[in-house]
Amino acid sequence: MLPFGGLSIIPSNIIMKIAFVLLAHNFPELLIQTVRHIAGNGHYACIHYDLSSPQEEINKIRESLKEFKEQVCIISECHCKWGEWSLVQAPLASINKIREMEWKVDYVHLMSGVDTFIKPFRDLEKFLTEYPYDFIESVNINERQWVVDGLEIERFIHTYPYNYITQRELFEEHLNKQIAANACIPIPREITPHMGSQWWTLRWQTCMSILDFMAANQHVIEYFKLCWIPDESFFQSVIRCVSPKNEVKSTQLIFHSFSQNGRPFLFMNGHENLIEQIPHFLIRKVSPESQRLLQFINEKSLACDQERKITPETLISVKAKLDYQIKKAGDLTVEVPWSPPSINHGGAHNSIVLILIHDGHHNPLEVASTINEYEHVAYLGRPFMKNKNNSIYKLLVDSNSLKTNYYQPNPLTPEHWQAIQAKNPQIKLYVVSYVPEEDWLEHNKVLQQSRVGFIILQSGNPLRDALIQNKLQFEKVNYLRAEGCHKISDLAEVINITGSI
Amino acid sequence: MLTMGKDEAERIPYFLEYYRNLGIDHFLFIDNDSSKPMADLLEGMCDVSLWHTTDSYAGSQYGVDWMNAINSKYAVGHWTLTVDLDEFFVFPYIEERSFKELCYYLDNMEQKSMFAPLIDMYPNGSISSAVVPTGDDPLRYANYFDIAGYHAQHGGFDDVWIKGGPRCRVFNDGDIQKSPSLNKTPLMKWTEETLYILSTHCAYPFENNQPHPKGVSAVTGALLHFKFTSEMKEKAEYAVKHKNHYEASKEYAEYLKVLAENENLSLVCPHSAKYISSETLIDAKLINASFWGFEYNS
Repeated sequence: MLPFGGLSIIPSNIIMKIAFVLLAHNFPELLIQTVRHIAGNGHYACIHYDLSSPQEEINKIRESLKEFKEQVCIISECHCKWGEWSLVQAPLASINKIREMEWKVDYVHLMSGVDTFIKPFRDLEKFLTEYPYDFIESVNINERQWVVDGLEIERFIHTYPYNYITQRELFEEHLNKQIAANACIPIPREITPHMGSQWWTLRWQTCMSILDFMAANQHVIEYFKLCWIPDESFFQSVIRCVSPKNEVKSTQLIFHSFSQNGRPFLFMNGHENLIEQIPHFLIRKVSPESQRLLQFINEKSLACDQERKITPETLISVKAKLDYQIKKAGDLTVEVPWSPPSINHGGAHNSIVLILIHDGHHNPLEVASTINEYEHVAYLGRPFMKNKNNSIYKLLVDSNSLKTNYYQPNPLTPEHWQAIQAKNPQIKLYVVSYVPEEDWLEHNKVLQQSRVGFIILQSGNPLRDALIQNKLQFEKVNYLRAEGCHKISDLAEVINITGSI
Repeated sequence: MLTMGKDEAERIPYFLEYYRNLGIDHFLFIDNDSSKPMADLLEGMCDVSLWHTTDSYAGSQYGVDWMNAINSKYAVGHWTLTVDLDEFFVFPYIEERSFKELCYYLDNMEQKSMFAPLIDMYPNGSISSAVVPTGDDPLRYANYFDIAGYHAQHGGFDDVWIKGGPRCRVFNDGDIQKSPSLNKTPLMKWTEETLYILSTHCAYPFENNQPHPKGVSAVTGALLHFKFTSEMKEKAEYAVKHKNHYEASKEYAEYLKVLAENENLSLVCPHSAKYISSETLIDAKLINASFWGFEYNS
């Protein structure tokens, strides 16, 4: 079942008219449903269907929407290629078409044919009436980095005659040559480079101002045709030339997010609560296989009876929060199964940490030489030592007599422990020295989160007793009491025992 | 989905029921000359294609040649799930999300395969007590598994070799090196160059073997493996007699030896846990939800 199955009666009290510009190249059925939803609610839709898509699909769309011919038009101006000017050309052609059709609209909303509405139109109309601004992400790259990982200013100062996807080698070769030769094209003085997502919602008057600006500054168009991914920079930069700063809200009415490796976030069954948290009016992308979610959107999200307080600020803050959480969900530093850090030996811990209380009973050099006899043991020294440069342990770590040199100044983190364990699967026992005055409580917490076992040496030392008696810290952690270990020979015995674990 | 079997007719009815409910469109069966032909059972099912061979299982790299030949001819461009008749594929939130959602998600993530190691299931009692009637869900009778005790080791082909579980504990004296491998990559988007190399343990292109491709946490699943039911002894005797499994069915001879010592052998141990839902495996960190589980309604 697709959303927007039934047509609603066009309400007579529409307070504003919006023209939706939809860029699409496939899924004609989904597009038809969305456009019927738009037109059925009294708004306008201008579809840009890709020039390279089959003509039968365009005919089918036109045929299915003919009852709305006053409100819907379909054009095929160009073949939209990722990274190229065509993705700017298509919305510009759509704006021109809307002007030509003489639709009286207050706003133009640029969207993709696969976006899904999750709020009733009444909410959107109310919002745009209350906040009559231009909604477009527009970040001045001189003030803040927008690109997470990749080219940023390079997009504005070099030329890109080759397509990144289909001609990758030529693309890179051409770019590298320019960088090596320091060959730059000048940025037109009218423009300050701004970047942002390609999807926007602009007032009709702003769209007209953009066309006027373009007519008066033909060289700016020619310039952006040379740039890379101009759909993320053209409108975003030009808006600053045509709209007052306080009338531009650098955000979007659609919620979309990306995983750590740049894949789009997918809404699926089980995301009903998530959708309720999102204040945005549309989302991308919804899995067409998630019928229960689509039904939920159709029945619950699009219902008009809910009281929602949506402001430009809530759009920004919720997006930022979810973007952060989504990136984090794909982070491999979290524990995942079958990765070496989570190797699990029969319910026991990966490795054991032997905490050596520093109470003058042993000499670190002697400890190191004892440990060196065993393949499965490593000495990590004092994790909380404040001044490592003046310390004997620094020398120990640097010397060849130690098998590991993962010396970390404080604090060690659970990730450090996991990395150390992953890189040294042969090491079953780590010896760590504690000095009572150092910040051992913090390190306990780290060890606990690292799922390592404990052995605490030197009975009779007040610090040892404090560690054992600290029930709060040790509740979930297995530890062995090594009673009566005072001497280095005792240490050897403990090492032998752990070797058999 | 592709499967093969020899004289395992009693497993087929529930197998079909399970995977049809999951949303599998088409089944490819290979009948390795069962004494009672699979055709008797599968005839007239429009979602089943059946091949029959009298060739030797051991002589065809334990079926790998057959699987590759059929998948490469009929499955290019499709998501393929290649499993044995006693393996039941599960993934995070399988109770709420469909197999088709999973495939759409993997396409969206540009993932070409999904890692799903075997989890050996056994009853909460003696192995012989788990009598699974034909057509019934084996999970009702053998719903315990080892929550811990697995060992992972990186191999030479981007693969991670998982060993451990009850087969290591009980039948291999806890010797990790000797015990059978559990890692599998049963779900792959088949292309012209895709191949299985060593059962479904190892695939080509090798990056398909990575549980977390390109170092990004990915969704992983599991194959609930129902070897340890009342039929075990009979199956092992059959395997030993025909010497048709890896290393002349050495593993099966070991089963018989241990079973001979204790007829009422139970595999339950202090780290046994009851399988309740896919979330049991998520909590045990045996499967990973990652991005797929983001903000999932709990």
